[in-house]
Amino acid sequence: MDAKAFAFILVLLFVGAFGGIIYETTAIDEINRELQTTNLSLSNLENHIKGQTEYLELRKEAFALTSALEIIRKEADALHGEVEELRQRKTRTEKSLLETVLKTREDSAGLQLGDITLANGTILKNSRVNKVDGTITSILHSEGIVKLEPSLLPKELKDRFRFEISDESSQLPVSKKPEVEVPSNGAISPKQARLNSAKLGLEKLQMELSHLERDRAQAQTDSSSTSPTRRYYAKKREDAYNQQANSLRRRIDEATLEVRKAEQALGSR
Amino acid sequence: MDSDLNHRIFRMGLITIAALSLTQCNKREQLKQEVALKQAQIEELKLQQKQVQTAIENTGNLGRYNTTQPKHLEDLKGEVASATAEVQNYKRQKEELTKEVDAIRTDIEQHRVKYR
Repeated sequence: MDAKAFAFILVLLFVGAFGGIIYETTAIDEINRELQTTNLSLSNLENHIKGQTEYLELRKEAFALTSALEIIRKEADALHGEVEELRQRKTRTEKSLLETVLKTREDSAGLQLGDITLANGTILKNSRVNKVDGTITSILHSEGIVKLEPSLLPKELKDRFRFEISDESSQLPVSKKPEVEVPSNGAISPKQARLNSAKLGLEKLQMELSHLERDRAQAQTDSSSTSPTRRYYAKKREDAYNQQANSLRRRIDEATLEVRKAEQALGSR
Repeated sequence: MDSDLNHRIFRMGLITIAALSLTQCNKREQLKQEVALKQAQIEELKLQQKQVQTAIENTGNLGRYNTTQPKHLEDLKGEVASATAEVQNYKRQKEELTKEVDAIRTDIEQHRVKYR
């Protein structure tokens, strides 16, 4: 009887222990699963932060570059203004020089020159300036009157009358579009320059739009990602691209209109 | 004799169960601690993520470069180089024009002094 009771208790104990072991093992499995999930989340989070940190570095550099660009462009604008002002000042000063020279030519009628030797070796005795008409200088001398081209005049008179300065030479070209290179021979008319500039602007905008479309396609690909965080940011990026693309399209329409106007203006010349 | 054997078997059984329970419980605790540690790390990283996100937002709107890509930096560097060259060009033009204007003014003065 005693042995039977012990055996019964022993069996009960083993059954209890077996149940306990199963319970413990199940609990450990659950914790293991939780640990795996936690590890996965941790790894995802670390990767995400790494990506975000890289993106932050990119943005910081882009921010620094855009700030620098803004400053440089402001400086360029200010300098462009100063250069334009200087060009106008140069035009005014050249006009002033022309007026001074014209006044000198006008006032030289009757100027006593005495004996002068022309560039071809002719000597004019007891000469004086009769008048200066355009580039022709009339000189009265002991043997009559002579009309001289600038090339024949003595050095002193050449320097006095400055025939190399004329109304045409005082008209300086004023650059209005620094982006468009105008050849020094002046082959491009202002209307052609305007058309070129408008076309250049349109091309730039179209190129910008194509880049944007490519970026947007990338964002669309990212938005189908399995990671909800990545999907969220991709969606945000896509929205921003859409806004920028709409704005660009409006600008392209305006630029196209500008090109058409410039073409019409050139055609009606 | 039988009773002694039964006691021995009973004691061995108890010792085995106690040993198994102890090791399993210890393992479970270890795992729980590990999970708690990882979750604490996750919380810390979430905080770090928020800080990075705030730093990203603080860089403001970069216009057409708002969704910054590595190639944007190349574009920007190109634009900076181009704008710098433009500034240098304007500086050179300014210097040349200033000299020209000064030369013309000197010329006017000399002409006036000499011939009028």
